[in-house]
Amino acid sequence: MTIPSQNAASPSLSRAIWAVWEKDFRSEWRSRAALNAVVLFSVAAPVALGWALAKQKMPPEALGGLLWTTLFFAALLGLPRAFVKEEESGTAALLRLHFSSDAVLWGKVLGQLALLGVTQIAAVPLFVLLLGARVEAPFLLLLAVVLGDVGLAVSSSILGAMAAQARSKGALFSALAVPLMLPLLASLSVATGAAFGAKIDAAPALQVVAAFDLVLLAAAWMTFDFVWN
Amino acid sequence: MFNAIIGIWVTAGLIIGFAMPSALDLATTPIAFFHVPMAISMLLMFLAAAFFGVMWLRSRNPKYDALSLAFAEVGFAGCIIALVTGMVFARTNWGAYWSWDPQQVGVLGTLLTYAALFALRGATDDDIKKRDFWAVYAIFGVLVACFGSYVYRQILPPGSSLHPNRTLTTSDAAFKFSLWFNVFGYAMLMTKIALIRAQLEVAQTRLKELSWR
Repeated sequence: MTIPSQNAASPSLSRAIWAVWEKDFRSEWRSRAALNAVVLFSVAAPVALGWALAKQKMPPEALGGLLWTTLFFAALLGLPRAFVKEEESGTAALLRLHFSSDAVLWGKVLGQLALLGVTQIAAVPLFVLLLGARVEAPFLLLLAVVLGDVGLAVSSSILGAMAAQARSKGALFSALAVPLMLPLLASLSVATGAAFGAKIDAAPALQVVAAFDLVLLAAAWMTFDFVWN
Repeated sequence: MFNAIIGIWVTAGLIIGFAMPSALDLATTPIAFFHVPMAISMLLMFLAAAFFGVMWLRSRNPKYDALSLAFAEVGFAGCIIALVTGMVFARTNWGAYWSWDPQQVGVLGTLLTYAALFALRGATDDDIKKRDFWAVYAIFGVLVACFGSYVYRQILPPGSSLHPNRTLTTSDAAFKFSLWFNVFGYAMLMTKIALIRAQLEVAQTRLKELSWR
């Protein structure tokens, strides 16, 4: 792990982002607390849904909504850990000393993306298998997942940084994240429903997700310094 | 003087609204002149809250934070009124108070966003952090408000929303005049209330500072 000392010259942004990501990866790999919680929830939720909706033929529009509701609540379990653990273990001050806010933001976003990606490799096929969804447009599903993950990772990073510095961290994160992520959830459900065979045009929903991602990226980049320092 | 103008304007708007004949596709029209202008004014208040949030981040002047808080609070009250009057509107026009119409869901999502914003302010002890978090979340909040109020129903298949499409642009001139007359009236009224609320917030902050000396 390359964490530069205070006396060393400031690392380039890309090296600093990599160092933040690597620190998070190593610390997560030791405990696997967030990963275990998110993967277990993502796997248990489709099983619970399958049980509750046994033998019911779900329309593709509903399956799209159910998939994203599952992924969304799984994300709420694990994503706030990225900043909460820094505050709880007292390492937030060290991060502030060593790295610029940009490096922390993008390092954390990459960490969140990795966590979401690993989770979804297990969760999405299981969901499709257990709930009998027919993936009629795999590329569309992949695009929706990638765009959705970018939005979830960016918004959870900036909201996680705020919630971690406030009282009642975990509960507050959910209260902040649920309404803010509703546009993503709604648009991704429409696009994923189309990937599952619904006779709707996915393009407007994907355009909204892409636009929302871009605005979130820009707003997070411009405002993170105020939240973090 | 300004207060009197607002009072006369809003009253005249109500009278004009009730004097209008029924609009196309609507069983009862007068509430449209209250509900729709309230929803538009709500969005304007949230835009103002985000704008003053940015001003606080740039200038660090607590006056802008007070203005952002005041406009968000007034917008929040407007959001509740728009939602409730929308439910009454839905009952008379479409037969049910709540029918998961995309626009209804969108406004409910907006209401939840600003409720979370108030929760965030209440959960932060440090005054500067509290204002910074508020301003940042207010910027994100207005995105949700725009999405919930307008964008969401545009991405759904045609016919998903019970709300009549393009009423604001295709109605006859008298209807449009009444609508925008009321939008202007409610926007002025809510701005005036927000300015008074901001003055109260500034006074409260100063009193708090004095009490620590």
